[in-house]
Amino acid sequence: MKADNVIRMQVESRSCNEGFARVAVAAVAAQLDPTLEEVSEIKTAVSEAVTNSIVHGYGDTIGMIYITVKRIGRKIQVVIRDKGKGIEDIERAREPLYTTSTGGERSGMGFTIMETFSDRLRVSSRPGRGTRVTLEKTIYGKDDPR
Amino acid sequence: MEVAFENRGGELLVELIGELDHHAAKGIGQKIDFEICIRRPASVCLDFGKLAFMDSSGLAVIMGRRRTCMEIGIPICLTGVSGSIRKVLLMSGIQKYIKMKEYNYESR
Repeated sequence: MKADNVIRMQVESRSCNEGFARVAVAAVAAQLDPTLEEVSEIKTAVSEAVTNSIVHGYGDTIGMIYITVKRIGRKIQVVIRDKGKGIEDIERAREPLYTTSTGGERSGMGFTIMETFSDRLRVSSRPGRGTRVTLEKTIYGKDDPR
Repeated sequence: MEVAFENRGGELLVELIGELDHHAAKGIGQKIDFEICIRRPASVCLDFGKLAFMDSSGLAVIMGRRRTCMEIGIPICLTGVSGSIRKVLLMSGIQKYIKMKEYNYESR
């Protein structure tokens, strides 16, 4: 289906860029007159994906993170892609509280949050090549009678 | 993001202000631990009322401060938790380890 609006950005895997990705998705969602909750949920999901690329994908190295935000009707689709080290076992990575981080800095809740705060989450990865996370969320907006 | 500290009759109120993500989380934990160590409060309360955003990076900040408080033998709680921040906290099951208090509006 053809997108009604597309934003593509690429940022270096520096933690100071996490906020940019959130602003981009919030800007696209704003076109659908979303509720406060809808905006913070999709922002949180995107923040988790970008943080994963920075912390796990690239680790101590700096690489590019490619972010595409699309609006298709009332649906927002966000693709976060990196060319980092990839995920060996995606199923395991998606388990709540599972983390490969050892410093106590990460909680292992990233994928659980992405799953809960989006309608659909797809993860594909190739060890040594990178990871692609696709998040989709329908924005019902403030006028939704539900 | 910013952190503000206030002594409330022996309890150290730690106000988290702004956006708590992985970037902001880096120095925040140490900053709070430092204040706990020099102020020696009877208890600590982390206030999320002025926090506009938090992702899972906040969970590690909370659990780290819980550890600090346990080490020196004082209680710690959370307050001002709402919206998607509340959902993130409940998803993680953190409420099993740390008390969430409703706002006491009279004292504010």
